[in-house]
Amino acid sequence: MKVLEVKGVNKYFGSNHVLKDVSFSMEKGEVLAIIGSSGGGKTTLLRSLTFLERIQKGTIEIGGESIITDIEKEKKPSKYVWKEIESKKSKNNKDDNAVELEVDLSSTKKKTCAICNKLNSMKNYKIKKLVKNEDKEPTTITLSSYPKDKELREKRLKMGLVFQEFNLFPHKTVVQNLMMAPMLVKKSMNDDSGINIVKVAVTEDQARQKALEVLEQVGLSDKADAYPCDISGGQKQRVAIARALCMNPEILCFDEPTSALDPELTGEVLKVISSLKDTGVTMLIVTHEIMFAREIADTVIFLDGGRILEMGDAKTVIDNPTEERTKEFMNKILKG
Amino acid sequence: MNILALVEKLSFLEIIGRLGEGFLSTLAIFGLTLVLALPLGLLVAFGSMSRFKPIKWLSRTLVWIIRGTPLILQIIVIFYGPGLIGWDTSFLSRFGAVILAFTINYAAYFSEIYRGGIESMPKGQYEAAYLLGMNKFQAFTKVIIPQVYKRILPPMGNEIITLVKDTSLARVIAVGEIIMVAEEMSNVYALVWPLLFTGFFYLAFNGMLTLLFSYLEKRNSRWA
Repeated sequence: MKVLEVKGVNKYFGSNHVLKDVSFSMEKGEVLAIIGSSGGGKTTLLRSLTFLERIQKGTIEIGGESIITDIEKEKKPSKYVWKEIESKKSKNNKDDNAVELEVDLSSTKKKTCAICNKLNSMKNYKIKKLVKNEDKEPTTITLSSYPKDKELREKRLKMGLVFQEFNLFPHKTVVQNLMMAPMLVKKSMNDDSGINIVKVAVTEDQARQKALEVLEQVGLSDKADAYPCDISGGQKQRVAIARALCMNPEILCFDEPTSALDPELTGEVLKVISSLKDTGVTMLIVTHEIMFAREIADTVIFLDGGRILEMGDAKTVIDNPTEERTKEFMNKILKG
Repeated sequence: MNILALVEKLSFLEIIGRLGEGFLSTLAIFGLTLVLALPLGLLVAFGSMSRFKPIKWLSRTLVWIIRGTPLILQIIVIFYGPGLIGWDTSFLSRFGAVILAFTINYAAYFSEIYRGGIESMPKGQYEAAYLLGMNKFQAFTKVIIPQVYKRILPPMGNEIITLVKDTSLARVIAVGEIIMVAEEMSNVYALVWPLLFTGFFYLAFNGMLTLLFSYLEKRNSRWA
């Protein structure tokens, strides 16, 4: 069963095209690792999938339910367009001022408008004129359509995210960190008959029981009443994993879970992630730990420049990459 | 004949009684200002952080004006200003004008403390809360506010102690707070000690506030 289906995702930060037509899918229980050099769009992809960033184009389906869809929008042609009528390069500043003045005068008298752009430290001028747009054909553009905030918040519960910087709540003890969201957030659940969907937040007792269970799973039962400032980085990250698990996400995502840790402490976190794989948790891991990815992941995606360069069986991609860029990356990583 | 003999002599208890009245007036200014300015400051802080430009502009301009001019001037302007441009301000008593001026002034200062505290919170705290399914209100009240509270306690303590001492400015429009009462006595009855007494009063009052704030800070010192 497919739990995640991503098709043609495109993301821009301003004019910076960060994700380019990214498509992939995940099966239930699958562990997928995303590797690649910094700035390749790995974290942005993960943030887009957890709706912390908005994508501009593409569709996202989670658990068979379409959450973000592409819609075609008709874009009316604008009535006026800027047309360049003169561009001038000059080294004489006095002369330039004269041009500006002349243009300003004409703009007040006529309906058409002219401006001059000052470019390159006042030496180059471009004079543009606002003219009627002759091209009247409407164009269509494809845009991602998001549900309303409230609905999106509900859908987001299908995703859990473990941050690079843990982001535990420092004013709560470990067990309170785990219990907080389950007690606050109403989650859709099947009632006893298994048909009707009811929305409930769990009671304090239920939340505590679940929290202690999950803490045991990550091996931190003895730290339940400690504050985040009292425990090590590795322990913090294990608490963060436990906190995400308490909401029973369909997919647990990791954003470079060991990057903020001492090499000494990465082992315990990786061990917990491995143990989760054995219990059948579907996981999407952005990581720099290539050898760990090779070991734990079923599938590896190599993301470079916002594009999926290579995707396939973890061992094949990492041991025998086909693309030149991937080979180069692997060589650098494995030698360094 | 000694001119002082003409003036009725005051007993010690009478002096203490009058100082007590001044003390109550000081307390009233302090208490009312605090109760009104603490929530109003939060409102102004939200205004200053608003994404809606006109509101942001308005809040920041207000803060600039209030922080940029002396409180004593603000009290005078609020009490005499409206009358000068022909408004009927008989509804505004001297005491009312003082409370209004103090509230606006302290709301502006508090708002900047709140804003600093809220803006110092890392984005990751919001994101972690959202990813766990919390809505904006829950994230703000359950995750952000408790941490901001701890961060702003020291500057708030500072500001509140300043407020205690600023209450003495109320006398500029003849609201009889404790220093004004004491000074009257020194002028009329040639008594200096009541004036010194006010100093002890301020010290004692601020001493208690200092203890209260160190208690509040200690209560949250378990976590960092």
